[in-house]
Amino acid sequence: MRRSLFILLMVLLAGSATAGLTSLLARRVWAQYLAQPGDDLAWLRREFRLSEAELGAIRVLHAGYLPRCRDYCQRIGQRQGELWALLESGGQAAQVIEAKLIAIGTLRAQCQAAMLQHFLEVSQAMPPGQGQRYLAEMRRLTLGFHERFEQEMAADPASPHAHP
Amino acid sequence: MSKPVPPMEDLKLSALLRAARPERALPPGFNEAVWRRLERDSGTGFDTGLADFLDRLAALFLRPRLAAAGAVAMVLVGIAVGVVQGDRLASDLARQQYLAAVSPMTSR
Repeated sequence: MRRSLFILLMVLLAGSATAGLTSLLARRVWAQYLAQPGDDLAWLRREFRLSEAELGAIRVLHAGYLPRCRDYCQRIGQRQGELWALLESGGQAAQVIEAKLIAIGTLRAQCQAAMLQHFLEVSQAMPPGQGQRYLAEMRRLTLGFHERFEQEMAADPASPHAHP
Repeated sequence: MSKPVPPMEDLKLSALLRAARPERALPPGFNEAVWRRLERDSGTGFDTGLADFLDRLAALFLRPRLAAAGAVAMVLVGIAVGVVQGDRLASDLARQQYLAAVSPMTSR
């Protein structure tokens, strides 16, 4: 019985190792085969089953949006640099720092608004059902980030940031 | 009562038969096998049944054809799982690439 148990254990181990190693290899090879590193929109085509015509329309929107996105990122980064310089220099009036924070917040809001507008336009270039799904997913992924901690600002006694 | 003495011919015949069928040496491990069998037979019915089942199962995997078929099955299972996981991985990477392009404010 001991010998049989040993044989069965070995069979189990060898089988698991074979399946595990093969699956790792297959996962890597298959992911590389499917990947299209140069194309930012490969996910849209695949996930939302877009036709070439739909993808072509979205490519135009995407190309038009990217310079605006880059511009917002540069401006926000620049204002952030100025804010840190003000904070590190010390002795600045609170009003100056507040004004800088407001400027950054305004830029961030404008960036988000432009982003949402772009997502809306892209969703309208998709078939209706897929467009709704895309919009919901993009809102969740891009605004959910803020919403998660902003919800804690609401009166939630369970939140670690709750105010008495 | 004393046992009857066999006739001389019977004694000769017995000696002749013994000489014609010499006793062979026991095969190696015979004693261990006998003890194992005795040990097994003295166990409970459930133990014996389980041991028999495990022995039969182990013997199955020792057959080259079945062992090869099992190995091929494991490779196929691995490939199937890998393809499903690779599909998800490729989709996740592509999604991250898209999000990185369109949004600096992303939760993954």
